[in-house]
Amino acid sequence: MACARGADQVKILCLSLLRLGDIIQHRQLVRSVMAQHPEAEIHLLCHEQFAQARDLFSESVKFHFIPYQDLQKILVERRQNPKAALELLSQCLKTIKAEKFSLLYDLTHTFFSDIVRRALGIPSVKPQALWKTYLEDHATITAGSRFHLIETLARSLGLEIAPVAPSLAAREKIIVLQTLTSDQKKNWSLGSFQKLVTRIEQELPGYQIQILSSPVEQEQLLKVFSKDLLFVSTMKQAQDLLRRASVLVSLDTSLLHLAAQENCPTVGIFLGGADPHKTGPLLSGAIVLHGKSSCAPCSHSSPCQQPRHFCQELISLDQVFLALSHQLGKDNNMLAAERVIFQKNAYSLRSMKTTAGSLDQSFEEIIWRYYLDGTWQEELPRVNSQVRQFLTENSQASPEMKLQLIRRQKTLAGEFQLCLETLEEAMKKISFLCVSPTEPQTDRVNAIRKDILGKLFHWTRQFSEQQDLFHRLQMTLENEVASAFELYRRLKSPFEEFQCLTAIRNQFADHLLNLHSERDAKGEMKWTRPTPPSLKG
Amino acid sequence: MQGQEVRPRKVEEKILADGTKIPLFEERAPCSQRSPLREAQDWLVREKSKWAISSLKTKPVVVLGAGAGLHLTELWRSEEIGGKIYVIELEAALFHWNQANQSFPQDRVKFINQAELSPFLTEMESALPIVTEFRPGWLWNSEEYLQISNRLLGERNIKQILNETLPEMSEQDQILWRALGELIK
Repeated sequence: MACARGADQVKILCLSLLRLGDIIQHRQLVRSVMAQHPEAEIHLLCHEQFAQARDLFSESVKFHFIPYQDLQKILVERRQNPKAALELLSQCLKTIKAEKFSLLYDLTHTFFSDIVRRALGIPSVKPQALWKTYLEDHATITAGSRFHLIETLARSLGLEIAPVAPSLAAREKIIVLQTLTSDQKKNWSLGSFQKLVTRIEQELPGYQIQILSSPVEQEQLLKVFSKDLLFVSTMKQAQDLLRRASVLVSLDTSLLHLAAQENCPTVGIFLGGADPHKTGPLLSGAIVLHGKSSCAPCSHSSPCQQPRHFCQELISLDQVFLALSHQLGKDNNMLAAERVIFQKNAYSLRSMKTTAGSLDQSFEEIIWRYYLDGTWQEELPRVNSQVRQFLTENSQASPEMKLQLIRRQKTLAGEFQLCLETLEEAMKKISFLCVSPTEPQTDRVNAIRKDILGKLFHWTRQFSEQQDLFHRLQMTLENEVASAFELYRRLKSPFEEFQCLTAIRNQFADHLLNLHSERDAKGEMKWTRPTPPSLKG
Repeated sequence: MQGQEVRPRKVEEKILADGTKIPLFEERAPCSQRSPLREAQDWLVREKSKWAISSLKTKPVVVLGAGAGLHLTELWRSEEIGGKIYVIELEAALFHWNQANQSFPQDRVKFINQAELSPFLTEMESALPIVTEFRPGWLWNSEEYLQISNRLLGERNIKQILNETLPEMSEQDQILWRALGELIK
């Protein structure tokens, strides 16, 4: 990305207008911006209540703040004219504009950040269209996402995120626990943590336990834990502790991300609205225990609707202790958990043991990444390298498992081809209505819409592991349309997405099959390049 | 000011058990008769939690109702407040009682009576002050105090501004109001 260069130093502004955990994760993206613009001065705009983030960045970054809480108070509490909020925001943006930034990266991607970006009028990096659409339609708060939010942001903005270099310093025998979140639904009970403490004391006697606490949480924690276990600290002090500690066991909090940044091995407990696919720790080898009840992950904003905290009950003391022991190198039989695989620009969660399910998941990710990166639009398909990467990542899978995967994927590709043909028929019908000399009745158009929607609901249930393929189509059809043109216009892009993903799946499965038939003398899969049918065709 | 109760002209005084002196109008007091100091302290804590911190340093504070002055003492002693404090007291007798019985630093606290009200409000409208109500002190003037409050706080809240007045604004103001609208979603 080229920057305008003048007599003054080039300045780049990054918007990080979410919560503390997000700012900590955005540090990876800020590093990437720095690497792309080594001579530029990097500034970060955050909400003022997270000003403590400034102490957590070792990089040379200048911080600016939006007085979010003050603005909210003026508007909600009504002790001042709303014009005071306008004046305050205006002054804040004026100060930022005075810095004369050359370029802006929106790392937030919310309506608010988009308006701030427009108000500042700074030339901004345009997100890549396919990843941007994915971010908007799949990675929102309620919709499920196959990819980590930071990966989605990085790829959409042309940035590269990479694992933090391992710290060579020896870690001390300290086990750190983060036992509370700001959201009751995301908590594992303090009673469970108390039992964990007892078990650590009994079975890992050489280790010191430190329970992280903010000054506000101290009173609540002292009812359960003794004072000498508590580490009441600022975020900066917690960061220093995590630099030295052997492991952190944490709920889905900003501290989990802070530990990942400090390369501290982690065990993350994800409950309630916490979704480790979207917000897991960006650290290879991090263990994730996800309370996958049928209702999880639930909405962040509403309280738990269930009679009991089902997702919490799915995480046992044994599981957490085994995961902790595994991270300390004391137990290698940790199977009932997932681990993070974090490579350059790619975050994945995988079962500790390779299963058919994890192979399928890996295959889906590779198809989606290939599609969303959009390389098939510009050059000869790079299926070869993608399939090789898939095989490398899943080297533990037996040849039989791989063969079964190929068979499953070929069957799926055939089934999706049938879905595609049904959708193509529907599109033809809608196009016909568009050019019909008499204006078709809205009822008729909406009847077609409902018919497709019904089929999509059916396919979503039938292909539950691939239901995100139908997500955009479903969203598009949920509301009534006024005309055949409107229906066609709405369907066009998600239909093309489905078409493209089906073609890619076919191609990938064919390539894998080809590899399988070309086994070498050792019985290993060998790559011979087949002639791929052009995706564009 | 039609249809109002007839106000007693004479102010009496009551000395509470802790020695606090409060004004009385035929048994009615413009503050708590049991623990006015506690009432004043609680009032300040509650109100402060609703004020924007950045405004405290720079904006004037307009208090609607002088009461027995105890809440005003708590207010001007509060270190966070940097702007001048204006106290609107519409009841002449109470205005004078406070002038005679309370002593505030003149550079920090200024009382505004009925006669000074109009030019004061005109001046304050553009200053966008913090407006805070001491309702126990309103006695006979609730309606008028509410009108003053509405005038200083603006008739429209953010949602009404976004729905009703946006098209009349400059493009930049429209963008900023929309951003503010996002903050309260």
